[in-house]
Amino acid sequence: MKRRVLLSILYLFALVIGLGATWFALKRVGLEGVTAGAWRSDLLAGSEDAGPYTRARIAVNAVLALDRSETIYFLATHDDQGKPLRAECHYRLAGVAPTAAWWSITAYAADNFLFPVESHRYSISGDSLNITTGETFEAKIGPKANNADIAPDIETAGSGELRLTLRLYKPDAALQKNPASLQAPSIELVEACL
Amino acid sequence: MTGHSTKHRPWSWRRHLWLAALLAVTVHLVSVYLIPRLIMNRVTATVADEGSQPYLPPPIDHTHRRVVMPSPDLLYAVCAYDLTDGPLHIKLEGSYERYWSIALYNARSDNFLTLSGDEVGTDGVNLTIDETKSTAKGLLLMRVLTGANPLWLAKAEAFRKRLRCEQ
Repeated sequence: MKRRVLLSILYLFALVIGLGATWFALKRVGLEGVTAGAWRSDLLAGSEDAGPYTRARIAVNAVLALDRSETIYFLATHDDQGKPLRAECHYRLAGVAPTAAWWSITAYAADNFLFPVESHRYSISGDSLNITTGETFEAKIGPKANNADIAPDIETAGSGELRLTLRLYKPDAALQKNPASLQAPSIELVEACL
Repeated sequence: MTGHSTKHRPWSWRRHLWLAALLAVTVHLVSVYLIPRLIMNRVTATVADEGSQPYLPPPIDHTHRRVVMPSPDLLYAVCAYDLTDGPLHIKLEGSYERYWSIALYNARSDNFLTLSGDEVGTDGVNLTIDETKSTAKGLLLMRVLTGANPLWLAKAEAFRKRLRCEQ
């Protein structure tokens, strides 16, 4: 009887280890691919050439991604100093509008959904900043201060992980060939976190 | 006459440990293989009953919880298809001045075909998918850029309503 119980525990433990390894591989291991500043892109996202781990990782974190020829996605989970991005902190985002038909930077919470903010300031783009390719920009990211009339350019809420996604729709040929050549926007912590 | 004992000796602990390790590896590999398919199944199930009318989710905001990492700057139109029911006819008349695309995904979540506005021009789309390199079941996802200017929202809405997915 005691042997049966121990064997059940052993196989249950094996099951948990197997599923735990999957969770770790898909949620905790960073994207493979190229980096540009604090940003990282998996060039096989959405592609038929993606391996099983890339495919599963994309399915969990960004299902229905487009192939690299159509769109390049960069993800930032850390600032320029290598510290994890937090929803309760304020950041300054600065850079040059990339060479693509259209681009945007969107903030997501740890569950990969938009932050619940009434301002609907979920993202910035050339449109929202009123700039064109090659022009410089600066944007604020973080929670709205209690005494502030206007929310930051990208508003966050609550506490926990913050993920930024840079989407480049129809990137120009040079960027498509070498995504690491992106003039990546800098991400700098500017105020103490709430 | 001598009787034979049918009682087996139990497996050794070492053998059970090896089997448990094999189970852990198998569970890991199978789950990595199945996850994209299960997620695509779930996404497909949410739009499967719409027939030739694409599913048109409302403009994206924080209440949207169906698919991870939605873009708040796009309007979407979605069709689920099953080529075992016959070829898929994709029709879209007219054009739209800003970015738009129609992407086809197989049941593994791979994006195996994309048509975008700059390639299609003003001719519209009239395309039949009767077989693919990959799976019979899949999903069509149309993206139409609205951006920050609310004036584009009405135009984008009218454009996505012209999409037809007929089988």
